[in-house]
Amino acid sequence: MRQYFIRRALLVVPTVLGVTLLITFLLQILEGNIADLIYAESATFNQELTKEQIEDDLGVNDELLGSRSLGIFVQWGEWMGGVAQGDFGEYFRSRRSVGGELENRIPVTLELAGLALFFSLIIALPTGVISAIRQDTLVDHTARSFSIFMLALPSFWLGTMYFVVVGRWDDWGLPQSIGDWLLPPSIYKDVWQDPEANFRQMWAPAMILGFALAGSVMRLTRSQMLEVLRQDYVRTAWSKGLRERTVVTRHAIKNAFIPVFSLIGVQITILVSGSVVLERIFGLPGLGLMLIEAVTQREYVAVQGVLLVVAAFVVITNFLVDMVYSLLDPRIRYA
Amino acid sequence: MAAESNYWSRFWRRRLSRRRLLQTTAVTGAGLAAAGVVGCGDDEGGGGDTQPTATTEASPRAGGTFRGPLVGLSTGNPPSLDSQRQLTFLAQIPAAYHYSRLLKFGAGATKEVDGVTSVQIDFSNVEGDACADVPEIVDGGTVFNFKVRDNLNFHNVAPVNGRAVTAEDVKHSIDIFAAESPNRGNWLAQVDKVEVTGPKDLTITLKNPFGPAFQVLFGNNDGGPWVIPSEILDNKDVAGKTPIGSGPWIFDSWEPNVVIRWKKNPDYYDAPLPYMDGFEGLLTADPEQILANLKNETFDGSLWSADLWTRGRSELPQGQWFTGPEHVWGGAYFNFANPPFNDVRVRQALSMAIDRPGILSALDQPRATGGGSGLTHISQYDKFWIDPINDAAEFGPNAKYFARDVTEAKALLSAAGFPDGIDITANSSNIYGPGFGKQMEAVSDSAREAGFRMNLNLGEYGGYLSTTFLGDIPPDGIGLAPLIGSPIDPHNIIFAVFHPSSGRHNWGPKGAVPAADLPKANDPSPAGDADLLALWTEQAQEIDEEARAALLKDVQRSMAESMWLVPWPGVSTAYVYQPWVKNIRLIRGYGFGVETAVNMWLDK
Repeated sequence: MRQYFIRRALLVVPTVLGVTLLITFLLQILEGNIADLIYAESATFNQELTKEQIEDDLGVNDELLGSRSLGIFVQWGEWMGGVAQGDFGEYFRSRRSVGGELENRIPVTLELAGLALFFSLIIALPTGVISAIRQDTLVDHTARSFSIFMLALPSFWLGTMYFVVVGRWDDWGLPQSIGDWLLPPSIYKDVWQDPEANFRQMWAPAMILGFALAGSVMRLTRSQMLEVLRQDYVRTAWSKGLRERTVVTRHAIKNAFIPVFSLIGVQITILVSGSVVLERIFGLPGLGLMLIEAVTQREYVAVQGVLLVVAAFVVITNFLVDMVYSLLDPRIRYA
Repeated sequence: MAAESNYWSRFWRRRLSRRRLLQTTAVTGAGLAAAGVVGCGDDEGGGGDTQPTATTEASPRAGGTFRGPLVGLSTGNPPSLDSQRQLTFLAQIPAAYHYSRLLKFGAGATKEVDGVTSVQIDFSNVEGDACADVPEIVDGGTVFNFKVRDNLNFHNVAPVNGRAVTAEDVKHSIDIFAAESPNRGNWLAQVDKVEVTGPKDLTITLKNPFGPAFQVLFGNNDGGPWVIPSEILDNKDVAGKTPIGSGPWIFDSWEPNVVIRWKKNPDYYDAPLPYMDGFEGLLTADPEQILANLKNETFDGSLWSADLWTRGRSELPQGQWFTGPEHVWGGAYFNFANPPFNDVRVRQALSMAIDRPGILSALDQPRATGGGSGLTHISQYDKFWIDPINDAAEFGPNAKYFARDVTEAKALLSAAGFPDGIDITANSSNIYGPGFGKQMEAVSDSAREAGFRMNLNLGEYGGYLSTTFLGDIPPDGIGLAPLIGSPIDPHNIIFAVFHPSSGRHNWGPKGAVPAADLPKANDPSPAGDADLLALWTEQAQEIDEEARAALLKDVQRSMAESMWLVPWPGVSTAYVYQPWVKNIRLIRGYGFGVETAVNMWLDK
């Protein structure tokens, strides 16, 4: 087990480094840099103002922004050197610290993703299990249809429709107390500042994001449960006269959940990418909004910072999933 | 933090109330009385210590905090609050809350269009802002003598602590602007020197007489200098995050992607303005979220998304609706290095193929006038505009190029060598929203009948801006977009969008043409249009407004024929306010904080 752990842990660092190098390279392929944007957005006579002057004003240079050769590696090396010392660099325009901004944004996205995962699991796992043990009944058909429904509806549409619908709560004659919970507060409050307002803001996007995850988790849970329920040791448990609850909870669920657990690990990436859209619709100041703005404004340092965090999060989560998986299923580490 | 204390104080108050409840119950044994104590505790939480008084429009009521989206149509989050070094409207709009500028403008006239108040663009009503009055102008319009207000002080916040604003402060602000602002092009082109002639006296000398000096250089509706204390301006870190100025509102906090908050400046030179105690500008963008909050009365007002025009008016019937004064102006633009659009007949045919009134009607968006009508090349300012449809006689024979005539368009296209029509890739960006997408589809459908088969290609903003927008357009392509959103004076449109010496001109080939090389003989672009280049320069140097208006109308007539850009209908911006928001004097975006918000008051 220790060997397996070390081998997998050693892969985490080069994977994250490789991703950051790839990101740096891909950013160079994007057309236009921050100076191009400022130059083009300028609304006044520009005869006496060149793009090079704007680059000087911003304190950026070709090596940092425009190089498509070895300069990329120099830039990446310098940036990674800073990151190793906890310095993620600064925004070109505002000189705000990217690290400081990440510090503010990461908790928002983590909270959204965590809540979404929680909602998806409390929907998907019981539904999947019940659907399997009541195979081909009305309950099963309803649950499967619901899972298809959840898979088919994109989160951005659900998010938009949410506001279309809850915007009318007053028309339905609902009391103010319910309306306050339906319509998220217009100004974000973090959980330590105002937990109640924070939850009022978070529950709807988390639920919507959770739906996207719940559909696939529910379907996999159901199929795994069906497979396990047909195993010899489960048949043996039935033949011993054990109650259904005991058979399902003690003998079937643990083995059925191993692949499901792995799927959840993989779907962490969906949570992070899904949060990009929902953060915008619900006005949550998380990593997603930060990334969209940074890409649009060609704030490369900020883009690199966000993507490093996301890459590290995904790689580490998958590493942890592998570890837990190997604990649950010893065959993995000997493979 | 106030918000933090709110929740936790509510929490502890609830705890306290329960204790009180138990104590009171124990002492009196009267449940009813105890409930009364709980009720008192909750009432304290309401926090309303001001008594409502009856007010009318004529008697402004002080107090209250306005809450609504700061920008409304896009993300609204500024990249930085260092407005002297940032040109984006996202950084300029917040600046007008906490900074002063040399001059400001009074509200323009309004008229009713389709039951909605339409605010006209009219910047004749110039007033002093940091300066006591409009400047004395001497030496044939080249020397401007400004006097800084005696009672103008920076905010009473460390490190400036309410010190008086001096002419040196203004000069230093201008010096930084002229050295570092990406919007300094006009300033560098027009201003010769800035001199301090006394503690409160400043003289600005221009290189040549400049007709739109008030609007373009000193009024800041087109991105001029703000008055900022050196303690802030010289420290880029502070200027970008915690601005301090002498404007009507004191900057309180900025939570990126959430909100910018201001408090009333109690020492404002124009006290008792502002009437409201604070302003919360939300950095929110989603139109459905904005609508839901307006419907549920958690927002006091907002800039309105044009593509939700009809729905908004039906769902918010109680709202006070305004259109304008800003019009997002755009058109189809070309690379003159390539056929077919280096042939004037093809451009004229495209213009005559577009059904502008039909598009405006079909889109069911707020009706625009002036620049937004798609009937002009240069003006968003009604005073300088002739309507080529309704005032065709005054406009002259070139008015016909704005009227739809499919037969003539086909004939022109055929004469140019394209009897079967042409296939075009129309490049633009997906950033302008669904309303813009609908407009482009309408333009495309409208032009198809005359033989222009457009394939719309909406690309990523940064890529589009650094290529197509700057004239890097492939041979079979055109560009389609709003090209300039902020300028209210035609000068800036001419010298940013069209002039060959403007590095950012929106036509190809890409790149500035040195002024010394103009005009270029036999050049199929504006660089070869000697008469038009001369008219552009002449209008800039004409300081008599009527004479300048006449020149600008000649510019319109000339450009109607050359069609260096084919304008199409833009979106007229709209605003909605709740009925309790009073004294709304809309002027335009950049000046909202000092020209509009400062006068508003809340009757709720």
